[in-house]
Amino acid sequence: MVTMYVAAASALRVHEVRKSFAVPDASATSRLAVDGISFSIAAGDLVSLVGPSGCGKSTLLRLIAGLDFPDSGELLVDEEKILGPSAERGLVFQDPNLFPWLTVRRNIEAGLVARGVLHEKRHEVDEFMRLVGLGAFSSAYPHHLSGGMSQRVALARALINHPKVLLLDEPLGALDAFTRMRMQDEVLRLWENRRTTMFLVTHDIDEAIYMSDRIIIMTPPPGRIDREIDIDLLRPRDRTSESFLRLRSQILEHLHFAGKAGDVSA
Amino acid sequence: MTMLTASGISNTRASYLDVALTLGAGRTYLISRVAIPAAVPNIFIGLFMGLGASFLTLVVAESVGVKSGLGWYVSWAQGWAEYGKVYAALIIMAAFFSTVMTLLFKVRDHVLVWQKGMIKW
Repeated sequence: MVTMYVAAASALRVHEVRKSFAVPDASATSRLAVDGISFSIAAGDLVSLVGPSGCGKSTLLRLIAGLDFPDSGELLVDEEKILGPSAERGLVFQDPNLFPWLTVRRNIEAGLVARGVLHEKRHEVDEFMRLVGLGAFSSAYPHHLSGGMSQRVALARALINHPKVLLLDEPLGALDAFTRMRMQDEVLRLWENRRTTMFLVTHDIDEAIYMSDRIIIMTPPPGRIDREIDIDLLRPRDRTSESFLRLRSQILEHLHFAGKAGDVSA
Repeated sequence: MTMLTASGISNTRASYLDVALTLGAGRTYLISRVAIPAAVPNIFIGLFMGLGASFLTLVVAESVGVKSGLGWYVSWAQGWAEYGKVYAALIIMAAFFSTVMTLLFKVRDHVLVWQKGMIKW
């Protein structure tokens, strides 16, 4: 088994965050993307954020990543204010966004190079390649990889920095159903292995129930938090169990798809 | 060429820069390890176009302005109706130009090995 360097996980707190965007050619002021968002994630927890498209999920994630700044409110990691992007908050997008000009190995190394610590930490590269099962592909270029493999490289690239919080923006959204379920287990394995705090944005309710400790439901527009639901099911979870399906219809109901939810639980 | 390089750099996918930022990249990394590599395909297009244009200009300039060079030699030989020499000069020009182009292709294949199989051009 791979020796792991367990990073100290961190708590994330979002307090009354509001963010709007300027609308280019409208005389009207601006479009409010998210409003009055408050929640917190305990260190080492895996929390999901679900909601329909356009409810500001990705906006919120960019704010936490430090790639954007809120109009008002505060975002804190371990009670320290987020002031910009940092290797402490890794981000994995739906599109793996691997650097196409670098091999798999160099992509995974990118964070170490960027922080100027490649020399001291070179030995970890092999560990992370093995961790995501890509040892044999070290010198392949990204366009040779399948979607699932690319996403594993992206996960390894983010994890090699030992982020305190790992932000996942629909990381499995572009994968086919089977690969997605396999990757859900993979991400869970990485999480159980490393106990990094994870914040997963998804629009796949099954994925959210299957993976997370808690689900935050957002509604549009502007994005607001509708409610939070704790998922107390034991892992590994059975996607077909009665309690799983009950949660599923409960969440669908909150998102106003109750009719369809009725069919499922019937 | 400068224009194509500039547009290549300014068209760097914003998400590559975002990824680099969340990996802890500073300004130097963003420029030298993300923006420039991302612009290399464009730089090569610029090189190819620039090379073609400059060769054309060179030959035209030689045949009208100066008293040396292959362009001048072609029109001079033509004046003496020495068509063998005209063709010889044209063949030398073609061979020279295609050699330079082939070399540039080789360099490109080496530098852009990561694009192999991804883009046909």
